[in-house]
Amino acid sequence: MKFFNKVTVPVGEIHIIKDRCKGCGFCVEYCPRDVLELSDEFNTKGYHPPRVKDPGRCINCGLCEMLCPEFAIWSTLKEEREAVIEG
Amino acid sequence: MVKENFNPKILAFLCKWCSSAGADLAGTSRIKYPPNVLPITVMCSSRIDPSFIIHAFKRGADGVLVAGCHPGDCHYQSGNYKTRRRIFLLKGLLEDLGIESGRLRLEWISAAEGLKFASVIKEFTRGIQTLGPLNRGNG
Amino acid sequence: MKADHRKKIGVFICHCGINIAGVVDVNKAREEIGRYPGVVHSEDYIYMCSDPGQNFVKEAIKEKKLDAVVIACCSPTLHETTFRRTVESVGMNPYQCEIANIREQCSWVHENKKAATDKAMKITESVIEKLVLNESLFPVTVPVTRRALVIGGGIAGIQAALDIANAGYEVLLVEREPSIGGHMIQLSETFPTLDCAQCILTPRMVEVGHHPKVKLLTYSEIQEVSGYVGNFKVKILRKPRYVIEDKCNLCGECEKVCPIAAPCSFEGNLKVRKAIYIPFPQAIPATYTIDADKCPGFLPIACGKCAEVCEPKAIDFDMKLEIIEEEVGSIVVATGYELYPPKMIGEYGGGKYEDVIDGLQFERILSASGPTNGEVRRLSDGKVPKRVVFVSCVGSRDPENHFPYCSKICCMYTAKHAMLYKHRVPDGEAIVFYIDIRAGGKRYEEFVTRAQEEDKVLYIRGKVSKIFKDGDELVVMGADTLSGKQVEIRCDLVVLSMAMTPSKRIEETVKKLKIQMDEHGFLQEAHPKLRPVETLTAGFYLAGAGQAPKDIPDAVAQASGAASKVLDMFSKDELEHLPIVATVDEDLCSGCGVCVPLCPYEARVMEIRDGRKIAAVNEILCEGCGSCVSACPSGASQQRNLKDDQIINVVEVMLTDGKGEF
Repeated sequence: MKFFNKVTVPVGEIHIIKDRCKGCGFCVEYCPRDVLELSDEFNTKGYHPPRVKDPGRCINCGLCEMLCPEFAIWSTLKEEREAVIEG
Repeated sequence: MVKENFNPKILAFLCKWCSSAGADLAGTSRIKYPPNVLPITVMCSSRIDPSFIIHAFKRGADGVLVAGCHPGDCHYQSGNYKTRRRIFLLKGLLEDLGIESGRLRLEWISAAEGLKFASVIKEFTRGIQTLGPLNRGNG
Repeated sequence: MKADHRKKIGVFICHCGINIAGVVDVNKAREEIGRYPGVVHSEDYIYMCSDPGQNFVKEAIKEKKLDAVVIACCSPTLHETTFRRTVESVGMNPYQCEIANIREQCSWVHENKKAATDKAMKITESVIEKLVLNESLFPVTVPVTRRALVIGGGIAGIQAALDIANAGYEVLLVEREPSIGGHMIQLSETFPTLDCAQCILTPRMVEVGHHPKVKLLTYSEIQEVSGYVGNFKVKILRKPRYVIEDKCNLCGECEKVCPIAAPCSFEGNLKVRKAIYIPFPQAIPATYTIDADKCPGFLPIACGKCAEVCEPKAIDFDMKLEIIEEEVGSIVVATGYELYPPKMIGEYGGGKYEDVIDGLQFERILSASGPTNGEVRRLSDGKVPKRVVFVSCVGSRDPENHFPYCSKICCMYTAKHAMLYKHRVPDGEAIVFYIDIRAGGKRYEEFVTRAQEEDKVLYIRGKVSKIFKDGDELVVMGADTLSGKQVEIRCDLVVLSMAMTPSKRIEETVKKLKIQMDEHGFLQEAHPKLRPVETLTAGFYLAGAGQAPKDIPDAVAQASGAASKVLDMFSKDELEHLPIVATVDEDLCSGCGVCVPLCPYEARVMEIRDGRKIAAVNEILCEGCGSCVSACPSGASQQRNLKDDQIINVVEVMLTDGKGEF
């Protein structure tokens, strides 16, 4: 959709320490932007850590970081970008 | 086949808020229709006891029209739903009594539907003319 | 008809000029009905509703000591009250006066004079028959809650609220959007004066927002209305805005950090806003709102960045949906309009091409506080359009495909748009395709002429058949009927005059309020000529474009009209409730309870009397529909002045030709 003005919104970058993950799935479940999914790979503990399925949608809200009981995932601000809205 | 020289007697039970107001609008708009229908206005179509309709057929009506508000628009919320159920049951009963179910008609006519009122009257009158006078047997 | 007597009845037949007498033989009717059993006085007169006519009624009542009176005239909706007052003034109970409708339902709809006369007499005789068994009734009185509810915070709702509040009564003003102002606040200038819309409206918005008698409930909807005129109970749903109105200071820091963007509907979707937003700077109430559908979430708080930067701590994620219950005496419905969406007209490319827009979008472009700061630019490339085509009657006056009615305001706002465009882009060309020019208001015609003569707007009479894009330009194909040629115009921007339709979800609203809407969804007035601000449901009044397309002066006038009706109700100490309620004969009642669930007003209950279960009627709640009466298996339940035997007698007299022999 086109607009006369531009607004900028943050885009986050997800960092995952795979081996800390215990596969609880909270980050996938609660991500408000549906950015994550459980991957097919195994970590050393035998769990499926999350993976980023849609990196452009991350808004750096930090909920995954707050929910993770193992401090295995967090986001940092990647850039401020012009918001794009689908029609 | 329209029976010659047969002027049917038709009673119309109208509700004050919708169908009678629709009939008034037909009048205000000067839309013409046959004079065979005699109107009886009650507050709500649900006031009409099916026994009134049977009495009407017994006493000389060739056709009876019951007109109320459109479902969902009843001035008294749900009166027309009750009417709908009663007329449905009554039609079955009338068939058993030998009264063709086409002689009883239920219509939803709103206060804004003057044209519809007139066309229902015209159609129904024609229909009753085709059916002919109601055979009441003897007595 | 029973021979045991019986009231002394007077019959008065109105000629209504030639409306009745031109078709019905009033002399014959007077003579024949004069011979009907019980009739001791039969008279006809040219206008019964006039002063002399009413005097004849009063004199006859006094001289002949009449017990009851039938007036054979126009529909009871017009003069039943008039004549009932007349008979009451000489000591007769008003319910001993009945109207026989021999105009709308007889003389106006039949051409055969003999048949019409016979029918008029039959109708009158049937009313006599019913009247014979009428009881004298006295109104049930109910108190009035002197508070009003106004639904809709556009110009009409605001005006109605101010009029009622200034008269000293409390008003609840409920508005669905986060701010009041309706569509008028979106406008740039108003015709025909080219007044700045916001300059004339914001003072009223502020006045109503701060009025000590007005309780403003924005971002709220009506959930349920129960009760009846003078005594409504309303449940209002307050949607949580997650921002505490009184604490927000409009600093805007929250907006800057919000990560979610969404189209701004106030700006016609021409501008982007954030999930936390204020629809426009002069919003009343002056506060931001969080669009819960767009915000990443509260349970748990996913983002929360707005709350982090909010200095006055105005953001409260724990706000909940609230349902408040209020009591009011009257309700003004001012729900306003929507524009028919351009995408409904596929052949014009609405919804497909960014440069085919509707009138409200163009208003925002013209507006100094709009998405382009008042510069006329088009959306696709931001360039200033050098040729703009305005298409009238899009969706209106089109019974085959869309709406048959005229939307009334488009000719005027199209002239205004074309004029304002020429003021801003003097070397631009403005072309209007029209069918007719409807400029009926005060100084409206002069306004359109000014657009044509001073601003050199080109008016082409013809419909547009198709609009499509060719490269950078739009191609408008239409007809010029005055020269008889087809035209093809290449332009940069097209503005469509879309039809005015009732506001969103009007059907839901109308069902909740139990008022009527017409075939297009516009709110139905009680009478198209004489009762434009009332509905058929007592206690509900109408104002604004929700009732029919109209411009601002008409909306304001209608709102003040509705307010005056409300104030009329509030001027009385009590309202009279109709006494034609249901009754129960305790001796006949078997306590079956069939009647209780049938009542839509909860007016029927079962009580214990002398150890027996008996049905009882709450007369103040009973609205007199009669559903319970016809369901009663024992005939214990009857309706005052509409008893079973009255109706049977009416049926009898209508169907038998003899008199008094059944």
